[in-house]
Amino acid sequence: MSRFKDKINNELGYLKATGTAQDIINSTEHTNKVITFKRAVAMVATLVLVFIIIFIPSNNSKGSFVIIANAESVKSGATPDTNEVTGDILDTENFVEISDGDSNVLTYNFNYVLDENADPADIAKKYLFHNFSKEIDIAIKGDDIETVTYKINNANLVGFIIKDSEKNEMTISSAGISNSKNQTDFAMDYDDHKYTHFVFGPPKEINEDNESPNYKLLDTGELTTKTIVSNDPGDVVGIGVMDENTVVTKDEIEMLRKYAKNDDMVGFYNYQNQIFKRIIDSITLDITVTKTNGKTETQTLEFLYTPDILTEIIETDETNQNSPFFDCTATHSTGTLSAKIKK
Amino acid sequence: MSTNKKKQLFSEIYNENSDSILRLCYMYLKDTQLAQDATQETFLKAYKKLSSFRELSCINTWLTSIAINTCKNIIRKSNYKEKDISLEEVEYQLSYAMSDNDKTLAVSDAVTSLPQDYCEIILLRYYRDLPIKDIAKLLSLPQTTVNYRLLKAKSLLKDILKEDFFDE
Repeated sequence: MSRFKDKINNELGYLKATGTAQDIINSTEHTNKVITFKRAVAMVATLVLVFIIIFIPSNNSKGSFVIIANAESVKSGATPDTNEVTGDILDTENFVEISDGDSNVLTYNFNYVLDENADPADIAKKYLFHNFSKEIDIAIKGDDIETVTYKINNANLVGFIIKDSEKNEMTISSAGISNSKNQTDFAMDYDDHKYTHFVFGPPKEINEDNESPNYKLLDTGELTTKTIVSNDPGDVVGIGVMDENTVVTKDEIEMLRKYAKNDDMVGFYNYQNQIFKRIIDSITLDITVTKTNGKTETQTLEFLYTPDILTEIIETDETNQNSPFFDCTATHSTGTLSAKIKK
Repeated sequence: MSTNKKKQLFSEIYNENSDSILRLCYMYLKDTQLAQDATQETFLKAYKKLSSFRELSCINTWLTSIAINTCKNIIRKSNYKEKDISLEEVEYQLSYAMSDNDKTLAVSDAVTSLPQDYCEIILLRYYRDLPIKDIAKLLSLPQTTVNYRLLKAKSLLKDILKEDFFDE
């Protein structure tokens, strides 16, 4: 501990926090401050299957392996023909909602100020997002598979987690994200892979000058490899990297700026959500299995993001912050992510 | 994140950080009761946000940013307004207080006597150990400005306290 910190703690040692962690937890369980908004009709129409258990493969499945979303457990040796797989088997016909079980919210970070004359108290609301990330859970099941390779298109891989529900272990693996690399794919042995949870963000433009005409850049962090032992196989731990870039057009920035200057935050968040939709709907995920006989087979997922339509903003203490760094963990732009196999 | 895991993680975070967050809030708000309120509000928010927090390696920075913003909100709501004083005036007042040889000035008093911007920078860097780049993001300042303010704040404190408490 530094001398400075030592001195402060000695001088202020009489100051002790009242209450315990349990007091705080009990207090939040009685709190009921929420931001509510109405859901668009389009979003309801998009939801086809939500958390149902499927025991037989869909007739519209493609290829010799199945792709399972929202899997609660994937046991070693289980095949889609048995009832040992629970989750949503994806097919080529229906978009299925994919969530990480905890939230459907995109997390995103801010950097570029859209309205430099705004009151500092409002600055947090008027930043251009420079990154967003979305977590999805995918499992692959099939026979005679040696390795599985995931390749994301029109997006940047932020990180991934391999989850072994039998051992109650999650390995957070580094995807080798760095300033100079646009990571889009990773591979793993099928035997090691039980259930993959990964995070993707918008495509990354590599910029040697570290500058952009539309937005400023932040330093990126790096992922580290570690193992977390969890007692709950349903646990999902997200990892993220504050990315450098995001692909937003000048026209889109100008529109966001107008909303920000007019203090029309409903319009701001709804328009921002449309930008997320534009980017996400263009993303695809190639899943390639390599069989033990050396042959490969690929299926591609396509995505559909259906934004929630915000009609009003209900201010709570949580939104009344002036720091974009704090607000980076919350957003008014929410929606539903769905996926299906590309025909 | 399951509820049990969330509660367990939160308890660890609370036990490790509650006192230092309280002291940070105290030095920011200069009032014990307000600091207690700010601390409780900080951890309330942290618990609510914990499920969606995605950078578990940056808990310290994340928690500190919540605390700082909570303090700023309290200041705004209570119509508390800091007097706009110059550095020279601060130095004069502290030097006057030190003129009695029997008095020793507490480091915490010296820090809280600084203008808000300088007090904040010192606390973030040397009490909460935030890296410069995180401070820059939190305060929406260029890193060069953060470095400059740190230099000035340290220099002022050294003049006032007649001793350098900083290891860098």
